[in-house]
Amino acid sequence: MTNMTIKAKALLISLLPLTITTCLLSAGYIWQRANDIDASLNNTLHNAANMISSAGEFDVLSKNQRALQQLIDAYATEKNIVRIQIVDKKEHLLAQSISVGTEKHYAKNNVTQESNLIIIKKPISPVAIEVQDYEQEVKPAFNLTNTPESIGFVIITGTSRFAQQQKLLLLFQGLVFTLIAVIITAIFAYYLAQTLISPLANIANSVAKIAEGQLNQRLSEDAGGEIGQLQKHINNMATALERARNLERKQAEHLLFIEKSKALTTLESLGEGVITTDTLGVITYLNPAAAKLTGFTAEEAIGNHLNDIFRTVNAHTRQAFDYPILSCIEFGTVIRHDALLRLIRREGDEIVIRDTATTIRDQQQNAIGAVLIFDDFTSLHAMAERLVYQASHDDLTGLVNRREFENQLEISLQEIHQLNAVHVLCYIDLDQFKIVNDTCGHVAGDELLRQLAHLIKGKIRSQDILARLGGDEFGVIIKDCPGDKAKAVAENILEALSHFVFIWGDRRQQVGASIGLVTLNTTQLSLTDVLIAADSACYVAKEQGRNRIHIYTSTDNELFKRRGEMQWFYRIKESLQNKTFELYVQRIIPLQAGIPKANHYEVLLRLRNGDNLYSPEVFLTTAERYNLMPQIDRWVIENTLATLRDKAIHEQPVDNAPRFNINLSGQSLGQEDFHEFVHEKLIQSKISPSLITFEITETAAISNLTRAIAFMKTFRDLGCQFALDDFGSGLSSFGYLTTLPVDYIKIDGNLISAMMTSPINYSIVDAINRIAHQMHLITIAEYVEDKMLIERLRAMGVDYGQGFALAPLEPMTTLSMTSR
Amino acid sequence: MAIAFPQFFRHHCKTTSGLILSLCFVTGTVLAQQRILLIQSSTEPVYAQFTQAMREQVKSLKIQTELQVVTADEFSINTSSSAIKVDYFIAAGVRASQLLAGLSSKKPQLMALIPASLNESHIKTNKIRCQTGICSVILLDQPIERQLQLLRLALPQHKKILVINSPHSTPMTAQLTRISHQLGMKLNYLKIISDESLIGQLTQELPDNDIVLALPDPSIYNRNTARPILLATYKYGVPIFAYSQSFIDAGASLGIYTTPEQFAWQCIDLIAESQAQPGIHWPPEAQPKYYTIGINSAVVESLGIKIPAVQYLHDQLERILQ
Repeated sequence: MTNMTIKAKALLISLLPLTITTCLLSAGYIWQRANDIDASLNNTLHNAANMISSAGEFDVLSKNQRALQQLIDAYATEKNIVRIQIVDKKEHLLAQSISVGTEKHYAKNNVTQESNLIIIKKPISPVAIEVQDYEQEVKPAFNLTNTPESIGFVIITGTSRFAQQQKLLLLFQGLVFTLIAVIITAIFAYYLAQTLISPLANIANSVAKIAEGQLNQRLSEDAGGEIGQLQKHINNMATALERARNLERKQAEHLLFIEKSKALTTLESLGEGVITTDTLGVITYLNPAAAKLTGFTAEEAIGNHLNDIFRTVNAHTRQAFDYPILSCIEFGTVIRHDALLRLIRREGDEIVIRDTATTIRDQQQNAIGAVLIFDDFTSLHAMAERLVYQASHDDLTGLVNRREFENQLEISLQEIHQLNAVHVLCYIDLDQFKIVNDTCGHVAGDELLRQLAHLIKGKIRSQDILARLGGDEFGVIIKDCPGDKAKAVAENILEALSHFVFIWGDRRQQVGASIGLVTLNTTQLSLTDVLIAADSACYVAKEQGRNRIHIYTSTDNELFKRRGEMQWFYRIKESLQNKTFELYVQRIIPLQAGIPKANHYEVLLRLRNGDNLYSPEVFLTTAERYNLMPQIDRWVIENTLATLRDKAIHEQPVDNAPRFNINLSGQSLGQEDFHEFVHEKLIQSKISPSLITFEITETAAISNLTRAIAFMKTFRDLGCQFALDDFGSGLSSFGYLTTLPVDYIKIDGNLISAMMTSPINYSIVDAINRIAHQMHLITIAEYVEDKMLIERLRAMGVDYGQGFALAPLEPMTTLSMTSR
Repeated sequence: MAIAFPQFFRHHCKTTSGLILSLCFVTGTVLAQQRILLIQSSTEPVYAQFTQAMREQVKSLKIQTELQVVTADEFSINTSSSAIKVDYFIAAGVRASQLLAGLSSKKPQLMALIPASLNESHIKTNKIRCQTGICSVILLDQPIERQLQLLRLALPQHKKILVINSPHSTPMTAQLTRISHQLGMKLNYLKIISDESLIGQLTQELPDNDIVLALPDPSIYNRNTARPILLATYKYGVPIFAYSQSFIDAGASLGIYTTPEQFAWQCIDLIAESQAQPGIHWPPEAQPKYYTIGINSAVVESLGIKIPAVQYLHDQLERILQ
């Protein structure tokens, strides 16, 4: 009902009552008329019966059947009468008349079986007429006229057939009349409703147009009364709305101009290049940075397709690369490239760029173009490439370093296991290098190594991998080469080395080499196995008289075990199994006033062998060489946290609780599951992460830069802190400080130790300290073993100091954990 | 049309009584107030008319007379108290008369409105009987001679007279036959055996008769039979000579009867005589003294017969009967 239009409601209001009334009246009329028909039929029949009853009274008494027949024949012509019978009081038939046309029908069928018949039985009674003036108080003894009430009966059988036909006709007429009345009324009501609704419909249409925003829509104020008022008010409203919209539009345009101006200024000021295109990839805007980077001015670039201005090649493969701006627009994807691109500038020179492209959408989220943002990544890219190169190459010889060599060896082992490839590891240990180094100096030694590297490289194929593994050790992975051919290669190398004469000044020096050959096979399960085998073979070659080649056999290991390094390998393995490592701590002392006095320790590892206690410097090389550092690190972490938990550190207030630095190796950081291990142990110990600081050497961090950064971010988020250890000893690049999220800089102990005697070292330490402070990092000086140093460091502004001059080593188990 | 005759005759009588009473006053006789107890059988209109006429006529008595009216029911309950200080008893109707007959009183008694046939049977059973000379039964039925004379005066051409009788009217039939012989009139009798055969028998007889003389036999003429009888006679063009005003109104052509007022006059006449001449003997049975001749002119006209004017008939009848 509520959804009905006014017109429909008006029609309903006018038609419904009228229709109901008309129907009721018609029904009442039909009902009345039907009753009248019934009554008329009844009256007809009863009148006939009465008339016959009265008229036939005498003839019944006189039994004048002829007269009775004449009487009822006259009445039998009535169409509603089927049959008339007159019987005497004993129901003996005196006369009967059947209406014309029904005689045969009723002769065949029993009249009374008809359903639409009406039978009236009227007694024929003599009409009482008083003839005595005086009361007959005493009845005569002889009552001659003991006349019954009825002397006979008139039985009239009528039919309601015609009455029903009349009723049907009446009903039909009534319905037709009602229908005509309703139709006429409906037409009239429709006309009236139309007259009433038309102005309202015009108003509704106009209001709808106004609602759609056509505020210039006006109504003709031609109607009177309330509708005229409504038209006038709606026009006023539309005028007011139009004014408000115009004002709002002006304000919006003003705001839009300001916003656009801001955005434009921002874009013009951005250091990143910004290019926008339409949906076809045609440039519509180019900011000054983009103009500078591409070499094209905005005027030159706008109107050209992006790929004509923004020409790129893959930074690694140098394959031409059509920038997929249309794909970005079509699919709404955000474009970022894993591989860097090189942008070919207008002049033909190239820069490495980082880029992002995004679809620009309108309010209806329809793509209307794309925006491309890019910046010059050349210098950073070069730095990253240099770092990667440095992390995997030996500075001196330019060869692959040990770490990269081990990676390649690992890959080769996987190829053996998975592809049935045949590779041979060639381990070369120079025999006379130490003499050159001792007699001619390090510079000569370095030059010798460079020359030998060059020499060996000339004896191997391009696919073979040559690396400098240590001071005078080289390794070659002879790829896809059977053992005998590999031996030939090794012999070729050995021969070249044998004939090589190093000339340094007036000195001439020959060098030889001991070469161990190991054919990689499926029995070698780990890198350590292969390295031990190669070491063993080389050792045997040396033992057999140097300057020779020894092909590895299984018996070589027994000989090799006697070698010192291998002894440490097995000691480490034994200590890990028997838990003979011990944890010590050394306190890190604040050197400056105002620094929180909470105890701060570095956890240090010691290996006990009988009464001897060895520091990591003794076995660290072996541990790293044979990839044992991850196990050692895990042992240290697990036992440190367990000890701290035993000492209920987790129950102390965090602000006053002591803090502990734990060293991590680069090998550990390179392991995929190391994150989970540390995280799990931290949770198990319930020690607050803020009490733990991990120390990572810059070398370790750089060797696994991506994972190192991820690890540091993860645990910094948990509350742990990080210290960059031995800073200044290795690559000495301050660039790392911007990359690695560290909190402390631990200045290399060698620099600290020498700063009292070397102004250069002093300056380096001072520079490191200043730069660190500039970067809001806390500095810690290591190896402070001289009391004079303490004052110098304090005067320099170094925050903390660590060394025997400040605090001795203490067994961690006996350490008192109370705050000082 | 029904006219009460003879008015002048009645006034004459009243004048005579008044003269007698005037004489009494003249001679200085002072008569005490008398009392009439009227017992009416019921409160039917006919008795009410009779009582009303009595009330009006009692004022005309020379001796101041009080009329006390009781119904038969009231009288039967308080018979003794009702009869105290009554000078005249008048019983209107059979039942009242029976009650009055059972009262052993020395006061004059009038028993009015008694059918002749019934009276005869009651006389036989000693129920209604007047033999003391101070008791008189005033019969309801017109004398036979009066009827026959009137019939002959009115319709002298209608000589074949049909009389329908039943065992009930047998006593009247004998008297009728005797008087008709005396008057030289021939009567045909139709004796009805059963009610079912009444109309059948009648229709067979009517074609052979000129007029039907109705006797006051309720077993033949009653409210149930009247209409068929009238229709039958009308059908055959035979007029009916009736005995009551109701019968004439119903369709009889003419008749003779006495109205309740006329009976009241007759009673007042008898009491006036008694008051004037104490000890006068009343006849034990009296015919209706006054009568009315009635003609249904519509029926007469329909039947196409001609009857002299009522006044003429009355005058002639009075002359003949004197």
